[in-house]
Amino acid sequence: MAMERSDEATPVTEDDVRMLAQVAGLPLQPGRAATLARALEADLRAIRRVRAVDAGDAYPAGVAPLAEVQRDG
Amino acid sequence: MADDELCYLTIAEAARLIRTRAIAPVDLVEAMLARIETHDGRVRAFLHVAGDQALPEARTAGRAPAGGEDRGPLHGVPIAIKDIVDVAAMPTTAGSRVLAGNVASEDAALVAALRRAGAIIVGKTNTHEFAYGVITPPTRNPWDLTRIPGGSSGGSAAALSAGMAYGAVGTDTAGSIRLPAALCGVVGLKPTYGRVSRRGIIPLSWSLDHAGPMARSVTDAALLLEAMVAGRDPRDPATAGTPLPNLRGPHASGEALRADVRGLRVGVPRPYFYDGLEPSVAAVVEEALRVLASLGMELREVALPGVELTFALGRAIQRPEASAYHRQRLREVPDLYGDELRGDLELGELFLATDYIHAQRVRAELHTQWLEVMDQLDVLAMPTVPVGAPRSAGTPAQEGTTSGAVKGTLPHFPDVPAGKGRLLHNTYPANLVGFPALSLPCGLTAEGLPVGLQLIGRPFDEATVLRAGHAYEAATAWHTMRPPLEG
Repeated sequence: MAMERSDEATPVTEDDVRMLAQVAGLPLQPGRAATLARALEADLRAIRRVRAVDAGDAYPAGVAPLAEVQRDG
Repeated sequence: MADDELCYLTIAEAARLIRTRAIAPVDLVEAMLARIETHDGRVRAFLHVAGDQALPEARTAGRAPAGGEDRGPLHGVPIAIKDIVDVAAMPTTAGSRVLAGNVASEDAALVAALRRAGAIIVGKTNTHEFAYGVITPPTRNPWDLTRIPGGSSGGSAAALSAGMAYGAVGTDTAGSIRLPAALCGVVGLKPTYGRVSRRGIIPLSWSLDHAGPMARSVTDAALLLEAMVAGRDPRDPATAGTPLPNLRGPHASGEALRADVRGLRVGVPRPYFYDGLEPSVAAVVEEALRVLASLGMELREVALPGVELTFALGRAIQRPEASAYHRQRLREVPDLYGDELRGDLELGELFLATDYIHAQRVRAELHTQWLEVMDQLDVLAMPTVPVGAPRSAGTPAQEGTTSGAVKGTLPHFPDVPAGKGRLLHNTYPANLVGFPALSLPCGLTAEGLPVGLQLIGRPFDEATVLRAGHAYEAATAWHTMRPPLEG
């Protein structure tokens, strides 16, 4: 079965933003979707690198921030 | 003593003069209030000046018995507090119209701790709206009133630089203590994550937020840190109970900071942290490294793994955490937010939970890798900010009101092509790993603007960071620089 295109190849559109905002229950001002789409695309260009880095362990260090620091305490 | 000299005393000096009754606490508070009256119309560091509370407290403090043992180390010393930190009966607006008229009912944990040490709160300082930015309108940089002080603790840094407080409190999510400290020529310390309670402080990003001291010397920063640290706080679950060594020594002399620094291992992480520096910043910091070496410290070239992921991780974590905190208000009073912040908060609602989780997991791995590097080092040394203070984009009237609420066009940096990312380039990594980081003055740019040297240490080892900083400070005079405000 063919896979759908990955998000890595598809820039964020205004429709994407409207959909995400609807899911979040976030009212958008008229014309705002285009601005947010550009900003989100810019952030995602960086964040996609994080997705690629964290593709490994089933049980990595965890999501609790700085747990090791807290254990030191 | 001339008024200007009085206003630029260090906390250690002021506390000693009070202890010996050479001056009274009310003298210091009156000097601060007069200085604020004279200069703050131009600098605009303060959102709220609390003479009505500070003067009676100073008179009461002046009636305390002579001697040192029954008084706190900050007895009678005026301190300024950033306007996202609660001080009882004073406004907490976070520089936003959203909280206009809000008055705190009790002190934040660290304010209560400072009061126990004898501090007198002289007022609240301006912050970038909800601490989410680096400009801090309407505050100006005392070194050049056409330039920004940095942020978000810009009011605290400007107040110290202009001699309008002896010490101050800032908060730091991506560099908000160290960036303005560097741009305004003062000292700022972001302690280890969990070292200082954030109870009573408005959150920006809970897993990145730190609170810490700002001052005009490393010794003073150490004094303030000691006063702020109160162990575990059940109302800030991130706090740790790790003891802080006695930094101030007998009679707040700073003696403990003067321990030998020969042999301290100083990592110089040239990849990333020395990239793209303004040439005069690079020259100043190279000279600072030579001073550290001349003091007997051992310089070693190192590379920090994963540091190139800093802004990707920061965005994926900070944006949704900030948006989660503001979610309800953003729906109830969206028009009260400034345009810049509103856009940032809307954007944070569109992030995927999986990206947030990926970022927190990579961040935890980064923390482990940095600990391994620091096994072989005592501190890291680098410029705090790659450039001097940028020019402000507009007039104070365009940038905001006295409450700091941003209005009109979005602020920008006409002379910093990469914008605020460049300003936070070297400070943000220490927030991700939670390590302590100190910024102290180390020279001037070609345009006569302050440059900061950043020293990063191991978790809960603020003592070594402060000791290295104190040794540098003792060998140089940059921390005694004053801005040209008097003309």
